[in-house]
Amino acid sequence: MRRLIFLVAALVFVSPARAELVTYEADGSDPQTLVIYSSTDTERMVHLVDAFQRKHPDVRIDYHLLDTLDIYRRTSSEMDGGKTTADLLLSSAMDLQIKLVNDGYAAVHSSVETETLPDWANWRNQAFGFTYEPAVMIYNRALVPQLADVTTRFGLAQSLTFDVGYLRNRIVTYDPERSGLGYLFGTHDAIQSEDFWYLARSLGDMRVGLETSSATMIDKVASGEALIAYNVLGSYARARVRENPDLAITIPSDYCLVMSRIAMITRTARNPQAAGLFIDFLLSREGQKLIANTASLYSLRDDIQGEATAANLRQAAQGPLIPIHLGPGLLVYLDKIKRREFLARWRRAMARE
Amino acid sequence: MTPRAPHTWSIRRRVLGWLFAGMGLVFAANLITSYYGNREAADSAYDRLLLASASAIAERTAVREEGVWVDIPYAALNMLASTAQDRVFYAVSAPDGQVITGYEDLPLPPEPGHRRGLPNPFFYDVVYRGASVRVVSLRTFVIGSNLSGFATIRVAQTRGEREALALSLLNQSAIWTLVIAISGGFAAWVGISLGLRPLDRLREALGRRSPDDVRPVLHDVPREFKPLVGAVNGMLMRIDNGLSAMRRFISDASHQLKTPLAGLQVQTEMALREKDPDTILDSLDKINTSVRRTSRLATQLLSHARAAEPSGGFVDLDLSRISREAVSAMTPQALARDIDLGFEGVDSAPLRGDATLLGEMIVNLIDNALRYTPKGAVVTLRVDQNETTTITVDDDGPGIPAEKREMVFERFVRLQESETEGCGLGLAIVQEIAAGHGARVTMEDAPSGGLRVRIAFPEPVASGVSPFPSPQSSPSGKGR
Repeated sequence: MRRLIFLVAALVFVSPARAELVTYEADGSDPQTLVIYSSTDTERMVHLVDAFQRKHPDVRIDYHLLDTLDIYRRTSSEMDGGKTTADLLLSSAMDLQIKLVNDGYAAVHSSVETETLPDWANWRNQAFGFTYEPAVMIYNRALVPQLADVTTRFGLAQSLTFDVGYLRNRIVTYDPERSGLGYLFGTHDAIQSEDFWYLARSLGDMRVGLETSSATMIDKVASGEALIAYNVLGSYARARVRENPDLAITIPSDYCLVMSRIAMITRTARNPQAAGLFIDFLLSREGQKLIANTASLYSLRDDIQGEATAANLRQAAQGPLIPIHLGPGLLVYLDKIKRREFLARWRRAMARE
Repeated sequence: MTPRAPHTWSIRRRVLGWLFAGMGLVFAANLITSYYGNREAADSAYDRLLLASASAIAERTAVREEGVWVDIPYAALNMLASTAQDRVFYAVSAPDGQVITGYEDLPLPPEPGHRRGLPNPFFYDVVYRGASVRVVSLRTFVIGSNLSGFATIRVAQTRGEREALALSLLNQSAIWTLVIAISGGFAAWVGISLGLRPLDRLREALGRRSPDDVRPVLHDVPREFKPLVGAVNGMLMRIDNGLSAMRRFISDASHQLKTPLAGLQVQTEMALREKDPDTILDSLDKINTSVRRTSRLATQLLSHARAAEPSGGFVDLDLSRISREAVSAMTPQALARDIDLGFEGVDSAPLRGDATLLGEMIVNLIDNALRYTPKGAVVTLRVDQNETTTITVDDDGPGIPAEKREMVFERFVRLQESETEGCGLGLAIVQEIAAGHGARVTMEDAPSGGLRVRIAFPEPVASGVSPFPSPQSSPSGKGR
């Protein structure tokens, strides 16, 4: 059922920017096209797209895989210039998606499926969270089983402070300067507690490795190059832990940040009906089951059973789960002075000896 | 108030109709003003939140080496996350007006019309990015080694939540308005039913009456129905007057005519028994005199009965002309008694009244004077009109002593048993008709030594006002 027809472009730059177009042809005789800009890999999305097209065979999907910042820039500049743009945006950059909504680039969509969302996952009926992905720690339990005892940020910082040397250069985390998700997690850690800066200084002392993707961090922990990764997307980690018994996940017990991928329909969408159908499918029981079981993205709905579900995560977590709420608060760290100040402080923490 | 169409209309429906029309207008006006009031209330409530957000930012605004610096607190924007999920915009400007962070194109407040500048903080409404937004502009003093002045913090919020609050308040007042309207209507319905209940009792009471029961209605009725009951009572009174006049005529006629008719019967029987032609002739002469007197009595009885019940046909007439005609008509009778009957006074005296009755009254006045003055006397009728209209009749006869003057207006009273044909009804008729016109009859001494009868009319009455005597002043007795 995979209707992966062609790969238009794989722009290779020095920057990690990527741009691919995958077209999923429609079976129907009178196809309409749904244009999606997304930051989620096609491997994770293909089962969802297949299932969606089985329900709506006349919808052809142009799936543009873009970086989150590109999704933001391209959509806003295309709409400002009066050009055609995507019908649907799926992005993990919650702050940028909220900024698009706040600045008036989104269309309203409401249905029985959007009604099922908790308040924090629906802003203005324009931005909809459709996954529930915790930021976790992953460590190599074959090499350092004692890291199972480290379940809090304070504990991690203390381990780093009193470390006898084996963790130096063998810990990785997101680089908030180069990764939007890393910035989102870092800033929300900073909102939660000043302990974050103690942790940041400790990480800087231990010469933390700064990465731009969860996959790379997990790879390094799996290979033993690193022993522990902090703030890894639980959805990516879970899939790898299943394959590799050396790896173990720690859900922080002081608190666990949870991010959502956000779907929104553009205000100038040429096919808002199909975009609405796609959102409704993502939020439906069927779509959420696929998100939990085949995409490993953790479903958001409470009425879905299984391992990668919000309900299961709540049971497994020992501390509070803190979902990042959709709303104007997310605009704060997009403020350019705020961003400059945060990164300056982060750099100072990293530069310590 | 006359229904043009033959449909039956209801007081209740009318009152409720007007009530609802009036209440509808008042309530519509109330809703409109309360919408604007609610908007203001919603604004003042949410403006405080907006100001709190701007103040939180102002607190974190300072001057650093590189210029004005601001650290937007997370709570500053997050506190604006409301249930209506309004969009939020902000901008921070350095003292030179340059936007250092935030939305650079967020509209500035309007230029102040006076030199003192805008109040601080200042709230205003603009349209931004396709939405109507509420903005607060807060100036805060910043100072550093190289720079000092007022930085401006603007925080804006779309109006969604405010409108939602204003509308929900409006909804509440609309619901209350409806409750008041419905309960008001219900109360009016009940109130009208209760208010009309005395009318039902009145209808029952009137329905129970016998056909000839014309007593005035004495039921306690609401003030609004007093005029109606008064009019009904007036009508009953007139009916009663008519009935009494008729009864009086019947009783007077049976009583007064019985004697002369019995006398006539005796005289004719006596004449029939006579054989002597001279005696028969003499008897016939007496019979003739009796018949004439009886005939006159009958006429006057009728006239009196009629005077007691004015026909109601009041017209504009000339009292002077009527008087002259009456004098002319009575002249032969005066000549027969060798009395000098004369007319004096104005040429024209306009008045509203019943011409026939007034003529009758004057004829009776003259007749009375002629009848009770000796041969060769002088009788003068005079009509004057200046502010009021008066008729005076003077004679130079014997006059009436002051203490007996009241008596002569009684029916069938004659002061001296004379051979004249008077039956004692003349002045009673005069009194009756004068009263019917609201006039007063008085007697006094004439300058020539005889009697003066004066009839003084009230000031000319306005048309439309009933000139009938009120029931209390009717001389002919009360209702039973």
